[in-house]
Amino acid sequence: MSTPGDGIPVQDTAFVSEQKRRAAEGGLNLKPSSRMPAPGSPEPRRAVGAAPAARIEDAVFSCRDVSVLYADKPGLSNVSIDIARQQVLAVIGPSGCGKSTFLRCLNRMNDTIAGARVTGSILLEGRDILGKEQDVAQLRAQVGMVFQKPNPFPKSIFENVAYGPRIHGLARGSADLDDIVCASLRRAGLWNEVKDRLSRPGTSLSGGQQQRLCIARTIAVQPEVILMDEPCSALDPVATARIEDLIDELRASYTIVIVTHSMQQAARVSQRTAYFHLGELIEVGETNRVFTNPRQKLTEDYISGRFG
Amino acid sequence: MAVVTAKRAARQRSGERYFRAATLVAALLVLGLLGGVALSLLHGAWPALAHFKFAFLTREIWNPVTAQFGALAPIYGTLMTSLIAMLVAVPIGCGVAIFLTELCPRGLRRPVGVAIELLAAVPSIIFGIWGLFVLAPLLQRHVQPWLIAHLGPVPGIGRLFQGPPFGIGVLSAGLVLAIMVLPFIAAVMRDVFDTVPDVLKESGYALGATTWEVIWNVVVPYSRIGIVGGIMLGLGRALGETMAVTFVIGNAHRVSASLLAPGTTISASIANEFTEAVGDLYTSSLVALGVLLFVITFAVIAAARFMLLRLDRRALSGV
Repeated sequence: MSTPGDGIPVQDTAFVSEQKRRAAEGGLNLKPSSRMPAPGSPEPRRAVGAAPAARIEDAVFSCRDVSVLYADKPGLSNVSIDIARQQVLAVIGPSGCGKSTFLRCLNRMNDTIAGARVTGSILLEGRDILGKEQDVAQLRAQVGMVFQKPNPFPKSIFENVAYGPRIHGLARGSADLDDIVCASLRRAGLWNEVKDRLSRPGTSLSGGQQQRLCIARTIAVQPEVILMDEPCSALDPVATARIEDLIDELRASYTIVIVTHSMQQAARVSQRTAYFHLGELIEVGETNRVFTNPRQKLTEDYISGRFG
Repeated sequence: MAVVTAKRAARQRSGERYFRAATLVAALLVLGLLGGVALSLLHGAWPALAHFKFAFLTREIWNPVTAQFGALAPIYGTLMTSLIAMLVAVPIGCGVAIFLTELCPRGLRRPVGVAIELLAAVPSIIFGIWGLFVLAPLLQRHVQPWLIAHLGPVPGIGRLFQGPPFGIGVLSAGLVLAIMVLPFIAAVMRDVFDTVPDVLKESGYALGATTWEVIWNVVVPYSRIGIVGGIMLGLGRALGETMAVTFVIGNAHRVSASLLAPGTTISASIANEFTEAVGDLYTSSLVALGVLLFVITFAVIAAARFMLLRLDRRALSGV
């Protein structure tokens, strides 16, 4: 893990020298990809293939050589990436490229899948979260997650939001809990729609409202990072627009990582974009740059709609 | 030439009609049988019900010599043994189901699941002789003296644990029943817990909940209706169980405060006494007991079905 770039604050441009270094090492890191031929995407194009570790100063997350095996089937290979504070990082790529797998590494949700094995190192604020001594409940309170399908608990709207603060003992008394619930629903832009029916079941809301309820539920625990796994894929365009506005607002207080299959959405909400392909990080950089001037052929092919 | 000619299509249509008629008859036959059983039970029970009227339900007396019959003791015994069985089997069955669906290592899941299903397949007569020759002496020598000594003097519940340790009695019957219904309850609850969507459990974990918190706050509330349904199915079986109970309950037409005393249940009374029932009123009283059991069990099963139906409908509508 002692790469030349370690510790030196370099922006995305670092990946050029990184590539040279890897080429000099005889393409050691390319091995996993040669075991996974890409259907429909010619292998030779990615001769310099493996992704550079884009380093960022004062990163929230710092992932190095993260690999995931699902019952010995590779799900993610040697991903190294930094995630910047109070920014939105969009993770894009074709189906099965490992973007959700990567997301689920960040709060160790892969633990809940039998047979999944994660290697490498993921530092959250400098602390390795993959270690045995890491308390996953505490980690997940710090790194919240919003899922693809809105999935409120079979409880009232109030209880849905109050649940997290309750199990983590965040509220001093019921008045305090009321405040937390109210503030979270406000931040999620749901308060005005539900303030008169907090005792109704969470499932009585519309899909878009349910998703905002799930965001409120995540915010209520006061996380540092919010992971979103295709949060709008089950929603209509109007509800999607509201969630996207919300993401833009939340960026001021939270670091957000959003997996999306919509490149337009990635372009709209994110400041940085990472492109994954067949379990590897191909390219990461400022969203504008990645979409207008991709440096990898694979990225270009994907965003120009040649496959995916 | 078309493979399906008009003639061939017509033959297929008529074949379909016959098949539909045959299945309809089969379905109606079941309904007819149910109605027939209910009617013949009522017909057989009519002399006793007409003679004793409502008092049949409230009198403890059961005297074939003077032809005085009341169903209170069997009703009490049936409900009490089933209650004990439920008190023991529901928590254990729930625990087994939670272990199997949430905590069990993958490799152990099938063996334990199969073992539970095998337990459900053991004939009740086996439980009966086991209860009489193994469990009852064990309770008599080791458990009941302790209960009498330690719980007997306690005010209130002490009345349940007084008198001599017979070994056989209401408590023993309740325990044997608990073992018999446990696999049913565990199997139904396991299926119910399996209906909880993974995304829901994941959202609990994603909030930083522990396994226990996810089970208690997500899995159980989501499946509460199914849990009740499973309990009711177990209860239905406990209420109607005959053979094992007859072995260990002691067969005394008495309502005793103590759980250690012998008692009887509806089905045990019928099984024991039908062959020696002389006189129309005696036979009719036994059939009337059958009517009572029919009504109780039917109500329990109907309630269980209704609750499972509601669960299904909710699962379909999506959460």
